[in-house]
Amino acid sequence: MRNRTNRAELVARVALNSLLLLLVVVWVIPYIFTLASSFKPQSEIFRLPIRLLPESTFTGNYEFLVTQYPYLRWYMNTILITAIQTTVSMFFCGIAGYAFAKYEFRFKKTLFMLVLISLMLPIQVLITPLFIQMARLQWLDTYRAVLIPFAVQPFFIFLMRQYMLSVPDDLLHSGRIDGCTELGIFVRIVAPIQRSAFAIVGILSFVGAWTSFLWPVIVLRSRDMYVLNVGIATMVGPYNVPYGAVLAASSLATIPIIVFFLLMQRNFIDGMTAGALKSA
Amino acid sequence: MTTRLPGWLNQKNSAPYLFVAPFFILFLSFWVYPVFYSLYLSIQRATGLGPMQFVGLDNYVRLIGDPRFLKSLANTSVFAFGSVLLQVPIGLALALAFNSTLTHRLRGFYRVAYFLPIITPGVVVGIMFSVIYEFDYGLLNQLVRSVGLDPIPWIRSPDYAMGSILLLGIWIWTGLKALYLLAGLQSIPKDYYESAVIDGASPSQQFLRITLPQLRPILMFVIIQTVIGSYALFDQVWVLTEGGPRDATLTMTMYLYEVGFQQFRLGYSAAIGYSIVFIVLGLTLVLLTAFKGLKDQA
Amino acid sequence: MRRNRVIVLAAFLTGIALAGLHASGEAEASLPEIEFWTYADNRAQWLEDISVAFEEETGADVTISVLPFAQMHDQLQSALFAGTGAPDIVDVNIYQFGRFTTGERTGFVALNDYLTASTVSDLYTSAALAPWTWEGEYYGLGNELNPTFMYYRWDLLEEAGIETPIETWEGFIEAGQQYVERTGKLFTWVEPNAWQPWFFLSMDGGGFFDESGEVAFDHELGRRVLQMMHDWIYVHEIAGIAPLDPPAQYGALGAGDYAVTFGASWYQGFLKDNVSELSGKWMMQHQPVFEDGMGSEAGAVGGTAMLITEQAADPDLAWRFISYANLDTDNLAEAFRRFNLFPTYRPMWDDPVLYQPDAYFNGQKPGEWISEAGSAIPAYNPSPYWFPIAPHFANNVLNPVVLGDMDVEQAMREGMESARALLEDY
Repeated sequence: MRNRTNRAELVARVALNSLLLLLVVVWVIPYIFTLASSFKPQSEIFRLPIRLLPESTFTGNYEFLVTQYPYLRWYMNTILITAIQTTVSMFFCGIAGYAFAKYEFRFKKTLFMLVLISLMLPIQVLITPLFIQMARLQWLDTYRAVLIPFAVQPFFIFLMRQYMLSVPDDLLHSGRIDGCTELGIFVRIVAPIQRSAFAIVGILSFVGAWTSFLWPVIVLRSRDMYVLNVGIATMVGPYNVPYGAVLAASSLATIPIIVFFLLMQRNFIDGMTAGALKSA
Repeated sequence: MTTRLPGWLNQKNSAPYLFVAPFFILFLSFWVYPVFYSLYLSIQRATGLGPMQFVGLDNYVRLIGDPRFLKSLANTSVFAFGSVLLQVPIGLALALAFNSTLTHRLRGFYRVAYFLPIITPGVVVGIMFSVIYEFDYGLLNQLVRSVGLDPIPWIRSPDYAMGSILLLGIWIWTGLKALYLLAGLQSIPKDYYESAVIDGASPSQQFLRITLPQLRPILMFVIIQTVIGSYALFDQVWVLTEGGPRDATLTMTMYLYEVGFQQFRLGYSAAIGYSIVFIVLGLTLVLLTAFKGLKDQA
Repeated sequence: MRRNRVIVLAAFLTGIALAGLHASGEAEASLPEIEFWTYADNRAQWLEDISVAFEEETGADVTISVLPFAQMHDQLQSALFAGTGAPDIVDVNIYQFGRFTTGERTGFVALNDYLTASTVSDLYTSAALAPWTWEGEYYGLGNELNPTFMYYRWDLLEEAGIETPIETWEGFIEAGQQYVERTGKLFTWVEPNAWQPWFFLSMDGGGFFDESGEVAFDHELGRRVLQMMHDWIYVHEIAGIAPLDPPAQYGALGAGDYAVTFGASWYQGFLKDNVSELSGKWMMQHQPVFEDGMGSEAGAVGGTAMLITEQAADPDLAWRFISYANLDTDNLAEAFRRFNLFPTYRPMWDDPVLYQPDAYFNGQKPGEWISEAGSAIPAYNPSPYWFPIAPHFANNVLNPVVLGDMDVEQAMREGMESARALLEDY
C-alpha cells in the first residue's frame, strides 16, 4: 500500500514540476532573448534560423546607446525620481496612516472617507486637467510635474493604517510620558516596529515609480528630461528603429529592478499580496 | 529629545491634522480640482490654441457616434473579459499547483519566475514582445514554422492582433493572480479539509464545496481588479502596436491620449476620461452586486 | 542610532529632491538667441555650418536641436499650449502643419509683412507657400521643390535586358515580369504603411482632398494606382512587401534584392547616405503613366518649412535667419551639394551649381531632372486635415489592400466612410 502511494506520488511530483519548469522557461525566455540579443549586431538579431545566444559579445549596441541618446541622463532621472517618490511615499503615507489609525480627531471619519473615495476614481479622468494645470503652473517638463501630483497615494495610506492599527497604545502612551514629540513618537517608536509595513509601501512605490509611463510621457517633453520608459519608447518609431540599441536599453532598464526584486523577494511578494488580502 | 511646546499648541491634538495635511493639500490641488475641472472641460470645445467654447453635452453625444471610440470600447472590453476568463482559471490552477506538497521545494523559484513580468516596465515588455511577435524573424513564428505551419501575423493582422495582446496579458498578469490566489488558499483553515476527508469527500467535492467558497472574497478582488486594470491598458500596447493595425488594438486610454495630447482636443479627451470612469464604476457596481448575489445564494 | 541614520538619509534625499526640483534648467542669455528645432540630421548639420557666418554678422547665438520627427511636433504643440518652451524657429513638416490650425490661433507668427517687405512673394512658386497658409496668413516658406522619380539600378536592368526609360505602367509590368524571369529576384516593393507613393503616383487625380477641402481619395486614378500596386504583388508577382524599417530596406537594396524604387528628390540624399556603396549604379527617370494617359510624369511629396513661433523673443531676427537660410544663393548651393535639395527660390534656378552631374546617379544631372519635373507636378489640393487623414488612409485603405486582406473597392468605400466620420469633429 505504501509503496504504491509513494510511486504514484513520485510520478505526480515529477510530472507537475516538469510542467511548471517548462512554463518557467516560457516565462523567462523573453528576458534571456532580450539580453542576449543586445549583444548581437542588428543583422544577427533578425535572421533565420534564430539563435538564442550571440555568436560573440558585440558591444556596439551599448556604445551606440550611450553616445546617440542621452541614456545615462535618462537613467539618472529615473533613479532620482524613483528615490524621491519612494521616500516621500513612505514618510507621508506612513504618518497619514498612523494618524488615522492611532488618533481621534474631529472630521477623522469624513477625511478617511475622502481617502477611500479617491481610491475609486481611475486616473484617466485626471490626466487631461492635470496636464493643463501643469502647463499653467509652468511645471511641464520638470521633475516636479512627475512627482508632486501623485506623491501621496491613498492606497498606501489605507495600507499603512491597516498595519498601524496593531500598534499597542501603551507604547505611544509611554512615549508621551517621556516627553517625546508626536513626530518623535512616530519616528522613534512606531516606525521601527512597523518595518515590514514601510518595506511594503517602499517596494510598491519603487515598482510603481520605476515602471510608470503614462503620466511621464504626458508631462516630460524634452529629451534630457525623459525617464527611462519614455526615452526607450521614443527610440521605437515608425522609421529606423535601432533594435540592438533598444534591446540594450531595455535590458539595462530592467536589471536594477530585477536585482532589487531578487534581493527582497519575500517583502515584494508579501507586499503585493498584502494589498490584495487587505482589500478583499 | 524633549522639547516643550506652548500649551495651546497641544501636540496630541494638532499632530494628526499636521500628519494628514500633506495628503490633503495634494488631494485638494491635484485630485479634487482636476476632477471638477475635467467635468467642466468635457462640456467645452477646447481644441488647439485659443479660448474654449461651451458646447454642452455635445462631446458626449459625439462619443456615442464616434466609431474609433466605440472600437476602443469594444477592444478594451474584450480584453477585460477575455483576461478574466483566461487569467483567473490558469492562475487558480497555478495557485493550486504551488500550494500542493508536490512542489513545495521549488515553490520559491516558481514564484520569482512568474512574478518577473509584474515588475517589468510595460514599455520594456512591449519591446520584448515586438521582437518575439515579429512576422519574419520573430521567435514565435520560428517555432510555428518549425512545426510546419505558416507564420502567423501576430500583430500585423487585425484579426490576430487582439488575441496576441490577450496572450501577452496572460504572460504578464497570470503570475500575480496565482500569487493572490495562493495567499487566499493558504489562509483556508486546514481542518475544513480534514473533516471533509473524514466525511468521505472526493478531491473535486472538496474543491467545489470548500476551496471555491472560501476563495470567494479574493476571487472577487482579483476579478474586479482585472476588469478595472484592463481599462487602463496603455504602455505595452502603445509600444507594440500603437493601437493598430487599423485600430484593432486601440484601447480606451490610448484613444484618450491620442485625442488629448496628439490632436489637442482637450475638451473631447476630458469627455473620454469621464466616459471611462462611468464605465468602470458601472462595471464595478455590477460585479459587486453579482458577487453579493452569489454569496447570498450559497 | 539606526533612527538617526534614517533621519540623515531622509534629509539627504530631501536635499537631492530640492535640488532636483529646480533641475529644469533655464538658460540666462545676454546675447540674442535663436533656438531652432529640426527633425532631420542632414538639415541640422547644414544649418550648423551656415549659421557660423550668421552668428558673426549679427552677434546672435544660434542653437540647432534635432528631435525625432514625431516627438518634435508633439513637443512643439504642447510647448505652444503651455506658453513656454517653444523654440524661436522650427522646421514644420508639410503634413504636420494641419495640427496647428484646429484652434483659434496657430501658434506661429504670420509672415505676410516680411514677405511683402522683401518682395519675396514674387520669387517663390505657390507650392512653396500654399501648404503653410491658413486663413489668408502665410506661416512658412517651403524650402524645396520635391518632384518624385523612379529610381532604378541601371546595371541590373541592363543585365536583364530591359530598356529604359520605361514610359508606361503597362510597360513597367512587362519589364518587371521579364526581370523576375531572368534574375529570379523581385523588381520593386510596396510599403504597406506608407501613403506617400500612392499619393504622388495618383496626384493627378487630386490626392486626398478635392478643391473644396472635402476628403475625396476614391477618385479614379487613385483606385487604378492602388489596384496596380496590389496587382504587382499578387497578380504579376513582380513586387514584394517592403521590409518594415528603413535599415532593413537599405540592407535589401544594398544586397541587390530590389531594382526599382520610387521617391521624391530628397530621397536621393538618403540613398547617398545609406547605400553609398551603390554609387554609380542608380539612375532616375520620370514616373511612368498609364497607356491611356492617366497619371503624371511627376508628383510631389513631402517638404518642410521654417516657421517662427509666437514665443520667439525677436521675430525680426528670426526672419533674418530664415531669409539667410532660404534666400541666400551660397547657402542654397551648399544644401544642394549635400542632399540634393532643389530650392524653391526662383533666382537660384539659373545657378549652374544645380546642374552638375552627380556621380552617384551615373553622371545624370539631378538638377535638370528636378527642374523639368517641377513643371509636371500637378496642382494638388492642400488641406489642414492631412494630419489625421493621411495616416488614416495608410492604415485603413492602403494597408489592407497591400497585405491582401481587402479588395480595393471595399477598402476605398469603408475608408471614405470612416474618414468622413473622423473629420466631423474637426
